[in-house]
Amino acid sequence: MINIKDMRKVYSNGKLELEAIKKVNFHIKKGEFVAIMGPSGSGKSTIMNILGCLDKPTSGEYYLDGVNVSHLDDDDLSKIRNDKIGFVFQSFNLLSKLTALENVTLPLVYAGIRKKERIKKAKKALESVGLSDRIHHLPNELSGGQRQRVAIARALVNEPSIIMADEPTGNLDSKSEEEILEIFKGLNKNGTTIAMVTHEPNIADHCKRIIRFKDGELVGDERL
Amino acid sequence: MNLIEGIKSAFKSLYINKMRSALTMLGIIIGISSVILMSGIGNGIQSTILSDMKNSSIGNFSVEADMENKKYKDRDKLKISDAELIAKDPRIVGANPETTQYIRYKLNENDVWIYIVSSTYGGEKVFPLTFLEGRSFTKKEYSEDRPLITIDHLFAKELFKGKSAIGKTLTLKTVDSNNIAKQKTYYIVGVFKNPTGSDSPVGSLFTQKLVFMPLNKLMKFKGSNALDTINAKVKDSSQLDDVMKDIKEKLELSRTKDIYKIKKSDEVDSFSKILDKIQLFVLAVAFISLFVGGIGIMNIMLASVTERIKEIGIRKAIGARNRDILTQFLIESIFLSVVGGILGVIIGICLGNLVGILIKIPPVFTLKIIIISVGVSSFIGIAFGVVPARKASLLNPIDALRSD
Repeated sequence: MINIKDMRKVYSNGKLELEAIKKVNFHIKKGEFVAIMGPSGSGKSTIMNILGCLDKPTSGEYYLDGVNVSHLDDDDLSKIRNDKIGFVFQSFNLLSKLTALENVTLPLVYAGIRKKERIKKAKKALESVGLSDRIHHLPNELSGGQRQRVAIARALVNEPSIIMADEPTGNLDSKSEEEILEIFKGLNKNGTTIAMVTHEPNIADHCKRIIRFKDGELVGDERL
Repeated sequence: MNLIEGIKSAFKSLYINKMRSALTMLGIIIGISSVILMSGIGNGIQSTILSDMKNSSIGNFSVEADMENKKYKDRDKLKISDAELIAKDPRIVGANPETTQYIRYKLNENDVWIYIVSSTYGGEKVFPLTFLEGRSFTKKEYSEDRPLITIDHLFAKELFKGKSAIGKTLTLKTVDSNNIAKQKTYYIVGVFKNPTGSDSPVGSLFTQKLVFMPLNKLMKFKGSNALDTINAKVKDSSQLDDVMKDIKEKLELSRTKDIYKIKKSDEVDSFSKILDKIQLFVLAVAFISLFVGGIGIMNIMLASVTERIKEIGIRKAIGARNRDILTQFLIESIFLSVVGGILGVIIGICLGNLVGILIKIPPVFTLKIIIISVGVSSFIGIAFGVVPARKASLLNPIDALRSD
């Protein structure tokens, strides 16, 4: 489902050039639960951004569901993100002035889905993360764990091909961390593909596969 | 994202920042309301003051001898008999031989100018006057030697502070052609409505203090029996051009050619041209304030883009295209300016009526100026909204997400 071929990413800032990713190749198949690990500066966030179609590789190819997305323009990338990718961020990234339900419906608004349908789908997504009783709360009326569950519901609502989670438990206490990981596992059991960046080995242990990066290179790929 | 969703979301984000939205709108409100106010008052002045003048001066024309002309000879001087000659034409209502004189007068410690106009029997046919108090001169008084005058009601009000002017006197001073100062006291027999005047303080700026005096007495007062003009009026204004041509020929029959200048009455036209220019100037100032309001919108929208970088990043990450973000910000600024514009129109009309009551001139608001104002304010919303909206739409989602 995800196929990365000879991917490089170079950041250049005038004279200074930084090679964040050095010729990387890997696949992620449908239904996998992959942890992407590495120390800071290893290039794992860059990989995550490219996998999430937020950024483009400098060279190489990225096939997502058979489509080469490495040369698409901004608007096509927006559409891919909307259709195929669900994001879960470390800092939740909910819109603070919108309620949980409104936050979850937002991807559907950009997908052009009608209001009735949007609300139905969003409620279902919130139900699947166990937040049916909090749908009209604003993010600051929710706990960290609840906020992250809203973010997961938002990532799920468009039925994406893959969920990209960037340190999703980094800002959470251990109890919430447990909850979130359980939700991810449950989703994965039902067939959702998940890629999760983390630097904590105990979290990576919940995944089925660990890809390790160091200095922009893929240094390990193990299945648990 | 469709337009209705965009409008809803723009409205929501403006509603959340109520105070800021209101202050931003204030710039546009002030701009539009001043445009509406100024044009309303300006049109009010035009229609109130000028309508009477216009109606009374249709078909009027004046005859003057051009004394500056080198070919001018003494025999070319306009005489009372010329007025009689003109009046004989069956297409003519009347012809008034006329001389005028500006004199200075000390009124409440201020030097003011008084415009003395000669009056002849039957002159009302050409230049109708409405008497508010007293009367005009009788046929007998035109030939008698008693020093009588009539004055306009605004001048009378200033002179006698609301008390009756009839029987009161006015002492006028002048310097005659031999440079000898003289003065004479006149009795007021009538007070007429000032045809160009208005009770309002604005109107009075354009109002002359008028005094009418029988022709022979004014000639005596001036020490000259020369006529300045002959003012005449035709029955049917469509014949005006033909009549003017015929009269020129008649006058030139026994005298020098091209000495006589015959002009349609343009007093009203030149007066309204001045008003137009003043109004244009004031409107220009009002439009500048509208422009400043537009810059205010741009400023706030730019600040709002910076403040909402994170929001833009999130929206982009979950699938907003560049044009969705562009539309969102553009709708917000258009909404601000259109709502500001509509409020400005309403406030402008209210203020206009208030000022109208104060200066006693009912304002006239035309649909045209309302449509133009709202149009201009929407245009400002678009024009000044594009820069911030484009800036927002082109943000890189990764950088936007990373910012705090």
